[in-house]
Amino acid sequence: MSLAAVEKAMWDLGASVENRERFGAFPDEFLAKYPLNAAERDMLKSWDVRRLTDQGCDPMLAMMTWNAVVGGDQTPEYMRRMNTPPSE
Amino acid sequence: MHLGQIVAGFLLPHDPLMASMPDAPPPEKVANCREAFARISNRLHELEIDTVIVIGDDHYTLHGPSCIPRYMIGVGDVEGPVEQWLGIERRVVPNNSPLAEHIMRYGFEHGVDWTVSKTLEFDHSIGVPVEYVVKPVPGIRTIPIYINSGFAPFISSRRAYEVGRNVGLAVAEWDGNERIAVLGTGGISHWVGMAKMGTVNEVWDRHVIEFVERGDAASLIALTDEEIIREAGNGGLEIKNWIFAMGVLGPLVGEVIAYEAVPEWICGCGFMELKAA
Repeated sequence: MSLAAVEKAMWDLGASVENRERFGAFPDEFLAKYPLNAAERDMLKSWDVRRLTDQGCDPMLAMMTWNAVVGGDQTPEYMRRMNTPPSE
Repeated sequence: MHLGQIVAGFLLPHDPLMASMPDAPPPEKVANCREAFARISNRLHELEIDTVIVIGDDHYTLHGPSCIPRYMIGVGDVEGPVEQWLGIERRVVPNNSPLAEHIMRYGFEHGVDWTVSKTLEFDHSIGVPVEYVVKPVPGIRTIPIYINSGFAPFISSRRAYEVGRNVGLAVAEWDGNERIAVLGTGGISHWVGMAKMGTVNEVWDRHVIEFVERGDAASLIALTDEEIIREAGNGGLEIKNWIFAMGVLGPLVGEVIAYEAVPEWICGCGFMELKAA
């Protein structure tokens, strides 16, 4: 897993409204500029924060990015996902 | 207490939810925390403090994975906080640039290769204490210091203490007549973005407080990062900010101002003053 690239994509999303708008409209196009594999792209597109952090992404970065992209008022959903073990 | 021009030291939270969700906890806990902030602010006023050195940490709000400074000092323009959702108005905060640059130069000459910010935009770790403790006292200047206690690779607790000591020695050689206070911010237990977010380990928090009460920096430094994360979450590592402040101040003991376990603010909130034994 290219963990650094995943974290870079997350941080870029948290840091820029323009990036978030582009990701929201064209997620595959936005993520194409990062060296990510298909599984990594899927985790980001689905905001599978549990799997992202299980695989080593920083939880603080995961939450900050979630707040920026999904919304700070969606913390209960973030916590539900964090406390739901991956199915496989 | 005589440590060069440093005349006071305090340890306190920088929990952003105190600003963004001020009334979420039970009223008595809110009142106790607000009173603790006010008490520290009053002490700054009583002691005629004109410069504070505030120790905070990045939360992936200032720097991304492309550059992670281990320790950084703001020597020039200071402005913030950067997070609009805090509800704290962004503003320019006056720095004491001559003293900040002296600390920087002293570090360069004595084994501390600071990352230097000439135009620092700070986050809640500086913004919350400045808003609630410093801002109410007119005329105080703020020297911001960031150490990397928020996300990996973490500064070691030993190094945090050593760099703090270096700052204390730098101030002792400063020929200005400022009256300086040190604010170590953050902690105590909290799990930021982790599955246990909202948990507070009051027992562990009170162990940390006991170490500070005894002035026992060595026992705090001896706690491994793995142990801290297990018992107090990734946010518990912010006790490195406290350790840094203890390094600046040298051998002192701690006096509890207040402690509240506040799950609504996802944090154990500890307020202490460091004093001569």
